[in-house]
Amino acid sequence: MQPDELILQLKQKNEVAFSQIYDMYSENIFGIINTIVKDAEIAEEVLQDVFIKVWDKSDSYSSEKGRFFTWLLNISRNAAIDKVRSKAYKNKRKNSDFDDFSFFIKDDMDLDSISDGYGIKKFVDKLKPMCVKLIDLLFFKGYTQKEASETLEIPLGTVKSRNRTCLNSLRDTLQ
Amino acid sequence: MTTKEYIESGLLELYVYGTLSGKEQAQVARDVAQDSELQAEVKAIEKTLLELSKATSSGVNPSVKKEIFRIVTEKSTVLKPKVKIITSNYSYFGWAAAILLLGGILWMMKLNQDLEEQINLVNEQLETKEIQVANSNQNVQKLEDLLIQMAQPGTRKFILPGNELNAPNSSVAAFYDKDTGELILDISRLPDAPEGMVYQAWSLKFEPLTPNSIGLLAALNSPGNKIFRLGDIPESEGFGITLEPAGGSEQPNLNQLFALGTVSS
Repeated sequence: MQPDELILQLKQKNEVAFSQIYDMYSENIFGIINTIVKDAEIAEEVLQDVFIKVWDKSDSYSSEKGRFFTWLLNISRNAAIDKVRSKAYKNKRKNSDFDDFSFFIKDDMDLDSISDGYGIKKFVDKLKPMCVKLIDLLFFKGYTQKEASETLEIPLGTVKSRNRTCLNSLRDTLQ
Repeated sequence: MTTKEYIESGLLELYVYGTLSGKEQAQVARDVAQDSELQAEVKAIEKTLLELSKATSSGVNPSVKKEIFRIVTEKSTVLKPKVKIITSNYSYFGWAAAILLLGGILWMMKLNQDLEEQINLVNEQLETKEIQVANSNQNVQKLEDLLIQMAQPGTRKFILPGNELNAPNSSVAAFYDKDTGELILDISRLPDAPEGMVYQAWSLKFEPLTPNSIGLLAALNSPGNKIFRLGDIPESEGFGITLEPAGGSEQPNLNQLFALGTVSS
């Protein structure tokens, strides 16, 4: 699942490998960035910055520290959060009602969609609101357990296990 | 903690999210690396997250990838300056040109040296020629002097016929000025004097026959010079030329008489 060979070639500055890695992850990364910046145009700017960083810093990734996807996630969320905090973003950003990732998931009836996520919305819609919030904060926004427990006002000790339960319900329906 | 408990704890989800502390993250990574069941679980979690996150994408504009690769390619070319060793044909042309140039310079130096040698040689020849010309001029001057002398009103020309025995069919031309005592003898028609011998000219008075040496026709000798000018000649009635041992003799050896003639009046 993890493209170890491609990652190795990426570290050797192989542009073909980089292109394949972009194709594998760009949509995921774009989706995550977009749930944070809530503006497709800005999200594309951030996505560009993220992949330039991936190219430049590929040496810093080590499989001993974790998954490549996790490494990408951290770079992407940090870049997106930096963007949200920037003056330029604050000036440009219009108010949005989109609070969590579920608003970005395309509807089943959206015939333009060619995404693999086609059909996922109905499963997400079945999730309890607390589950959507938990997954949104922990996965999409990168909150720590403590930050999530404080934001959602749930006991710190339950964050991990509740998140697992929520994700599992999605996982079961997807498989 | 068993593998099952580990999985059920929900730690692996947060590990894939990347929201654990650095220390926890590293610990889970080590645990996962040692347990294939944990690895399988991690992959399953990641798969779900990939699907979920992809579903949130509205589709990335293809121009983003183009721009990323434009920047990356630009960086690559900046990062890797082309310091390749030039092995193109141009370099061979360069070397060939350098060698040709060197060869050309050496050849021209050689040519220059040869020319200098030739100039030296020509200069030497020129010097020799100048000396020859000077000598010729001297000879011409002498001949001119002789001609002037011969053309003097008092100069008389007469012939000393060759002796029948020693020099048949030969003669010596003489130009004599009684008043100035100058005598010119042209012995060009006499045979060359043999080695160790010399022609000697005599002034003669007859009755009684009194010869007086007036000069060796070798003292002034120079190759090819057959005309001799003699001065302080006593008044004479005739002249004779004999062949004498080198250095000359006090009295003429009449056996070796080559030419004899009287001064015509």
